Amino acid sequence: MVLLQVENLRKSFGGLMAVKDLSFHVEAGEILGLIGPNGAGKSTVFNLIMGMLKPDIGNILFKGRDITGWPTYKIVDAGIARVFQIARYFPRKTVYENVEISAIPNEIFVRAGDPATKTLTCCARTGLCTNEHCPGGERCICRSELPGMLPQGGLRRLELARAIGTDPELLLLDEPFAGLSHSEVDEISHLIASLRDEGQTIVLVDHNMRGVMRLVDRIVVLCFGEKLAEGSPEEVARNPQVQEAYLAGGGL
Amino acid sequence: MSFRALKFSLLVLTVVIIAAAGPFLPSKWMTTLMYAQLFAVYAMGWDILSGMTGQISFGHIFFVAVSGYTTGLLNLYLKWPIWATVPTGVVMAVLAGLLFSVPALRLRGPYFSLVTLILPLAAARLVIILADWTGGELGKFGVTPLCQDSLLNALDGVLSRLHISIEAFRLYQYCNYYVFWVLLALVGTILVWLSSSRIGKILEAIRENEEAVEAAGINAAKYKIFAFAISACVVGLGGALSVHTNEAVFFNSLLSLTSSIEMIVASVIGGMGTIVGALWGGLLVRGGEQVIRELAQLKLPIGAEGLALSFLERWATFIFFALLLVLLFFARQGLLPLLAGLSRRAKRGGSE
Amino acid sequence: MDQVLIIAERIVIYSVLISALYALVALGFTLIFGVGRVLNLAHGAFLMIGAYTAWFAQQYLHWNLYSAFALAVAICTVFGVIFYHGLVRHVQRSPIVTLIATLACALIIEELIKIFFTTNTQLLAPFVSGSVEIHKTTVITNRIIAFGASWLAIILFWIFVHRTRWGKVILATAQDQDGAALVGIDVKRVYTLTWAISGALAGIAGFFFASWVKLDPFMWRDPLIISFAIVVVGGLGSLKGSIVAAYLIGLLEVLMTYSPSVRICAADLRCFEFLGSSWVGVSSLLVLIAILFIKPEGLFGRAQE
Repeated sequence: MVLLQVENLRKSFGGLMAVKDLSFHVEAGEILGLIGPNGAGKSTVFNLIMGMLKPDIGNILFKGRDITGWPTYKIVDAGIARVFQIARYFPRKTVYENVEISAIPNEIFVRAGDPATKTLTCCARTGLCTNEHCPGGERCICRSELPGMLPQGGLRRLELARAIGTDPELLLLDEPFAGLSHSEVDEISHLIASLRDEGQTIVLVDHNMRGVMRLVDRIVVLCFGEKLAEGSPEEVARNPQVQEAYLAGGGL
Repeated sequence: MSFRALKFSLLVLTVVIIAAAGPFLPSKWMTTLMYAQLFAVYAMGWDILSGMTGQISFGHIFFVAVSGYTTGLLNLYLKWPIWATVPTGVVMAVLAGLLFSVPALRLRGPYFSLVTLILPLAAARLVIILADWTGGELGKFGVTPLCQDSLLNALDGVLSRLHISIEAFRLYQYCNYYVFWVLLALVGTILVWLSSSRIGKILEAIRENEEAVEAAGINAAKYKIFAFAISACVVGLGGALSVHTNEAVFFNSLLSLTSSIEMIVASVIGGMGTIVGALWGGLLVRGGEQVIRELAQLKLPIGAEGLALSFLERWATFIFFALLLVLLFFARQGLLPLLAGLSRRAKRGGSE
Repeated sequence: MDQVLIIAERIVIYSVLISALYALVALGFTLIFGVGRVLNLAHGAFLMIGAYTAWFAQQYLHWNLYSAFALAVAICTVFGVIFYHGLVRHVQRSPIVTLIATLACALIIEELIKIFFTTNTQLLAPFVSGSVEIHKTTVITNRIIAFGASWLAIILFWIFVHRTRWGKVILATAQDQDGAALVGIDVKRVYTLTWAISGALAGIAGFFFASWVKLDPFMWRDPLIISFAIVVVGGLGSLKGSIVAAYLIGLLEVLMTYSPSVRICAADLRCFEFLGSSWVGVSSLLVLIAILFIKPEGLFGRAQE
């Protein structure tokens, strides 16, 4: 089943065409890799899908509904969540409180349940809480720790926890391996794979090719805002155009 | 004790103390504390918006003016009774809040604050232009009092049944004092509850990173508008009641720029975003001003002729603004968080 | 017809004159915001300090007006630097605190002036008394001097910023603070200089404002509103925009002063004036509110993201 459909997307900034006639789709339950050299437009695509930017031309369909031009919060409510490369967190709230906000429903006047359960589940799921009092105890470290104290890997987990706290059907991961050490890359990689195994659909953007290739089911290659190739990792790796684009910018 | 529980306990404690203190206060202090409670309500109203979301309003007195003039003029010209004028005044204030919040939300922090600075100024000019109706800078008298004779007579009847006799003027004072006490307790309870609820968490999150709030699937604009409406409602209620207590629409009590800033002082002193802090801050500011006025009457037995403290009278406002500046530098979080931090440290020290 | 022409001429001449002063008033404010990203709500108070320094020098020290003027500018320049190093530098990381703190300072200065001087409104003595006739309009001579001085200051400022080395350093810092630091610019020194210049400009503006409009402890409020209005209408950080905005606002105010007013009365003989001189303050405020809601970047500014 097609979960997300991007059709003929175009976005330019001034004279620069960041995304040009881009079309691709995401199947439910798969991990799609969106790769390309720097400046290929990958983050712009995410911004467009999440409603932070409006496309000049084109449509974005999620579960059959046209979400083009919707405000960000509405898109998140509809089921798409994004993990930012540079974590967007609340600096003066604890880790727990940071995740809690995602678990709170977008309703002022409706009586809603306690977000605590969901928050704790997300913390546990992403391995945020690491000592024996977690996740339920009062002495759990995420109840006193501030995000600023976390290492990069921890921040990434926090972002993931905040994202899955919104009950997404589609998860957009923006350079999840950026700035991580080797062991952290492995850990996050396992986490992502396990999320997929539970049925989460994921789109991954990164240019750490080694990490990405092993993880994804399918790849869409972008270059200068246009789709260069699409297919399984092996197919894409053999594609001469892709090899040229990457050899010009770096190794595969 | 959680912060939420701390806030509620302090609120209850303060409210009980004020209620109990009533009969023991000399007349002058009763009036002061009555106005202090009103101002504390204003400060709390400011805090639920600006303290929590970080959108600093410099002209909150505007809502007092909208509500106050509506209430007063309806009563003076159309002879509406209190139970009709006050709700209408509040509704007008809320409408003003809603009307204003929707476009204002598009403005970034400093721009928004600057617009709030202008609104009361524009309102003040309009009031002067319409002086024939509003009384301009002098105001207009003759508004129905809050504690009317009929109410006072009824109270007197009840009290005499209990064999308590209170002199008429004193009864009038008690009535006003406790009406504002009810206002304080009600507003305090609702706002402390709100600030500790999930709505409060979202408002605080908006202050720290609005983009992240949107990314969490929450419509930040909706919550900001809600905070505006509540804030305008609370402040408007106070303003409407104050017009009836004063039995007049006074330009200076409904539109002074200094009052707007004093609301900020109050909230900063007590701790922005804590509500109870704003309550204390409000009481401290108004109470403190009276204390300085009292001190200014004194003569210290220093030197040959004694040291007259009358200069304090002129320096009172200066002292408050200088205090604000000092606080911003050295104790920006304010009184309540400082207290909470101290108690947390004491607890940890005891258990380890 | 003649009457209308005379009034039209008066409006044109008066607005041309006062707009120059308004532009000067706003210049220091816009400089600080463009370079330091600080909305200095005490800017009007800087003007007031200049005005009262001159008055003090004249009334109590019995200096002549030229010396008083020089003293006013000097004191304001120094005050600008002290204000930056003593206050702004420590709070400028938080825009909220900066707004509250600068406003608190303005109010503190107002209180101090109230305490040490009188609350009465007065006017600072003019450089030259008397008036001249320009065609059919009578103009107070001092105002023409103020006009000339304002434009002189504006032009000198423009030359400084665009043609001197330090001016270009200031421009660079305004565009990109971090980038400027990376190429070896001492950002603190740039800010010190900027605040000094802002203070100086405020001193000059305050001196003329006090002789043209008024001198009292509340005189800082109008220049602040004017500066803010000009900067919003003209766009933050745009000198050209500020000047155009100053002329628009000046024209609007003068129009209001000389426009005929309509007296609207209710059945019970309570009346109010629609338009006319009592609307001088309201009109610019309402226009300002309207622009803030419709186009917050101003007519010439870039949208601040």
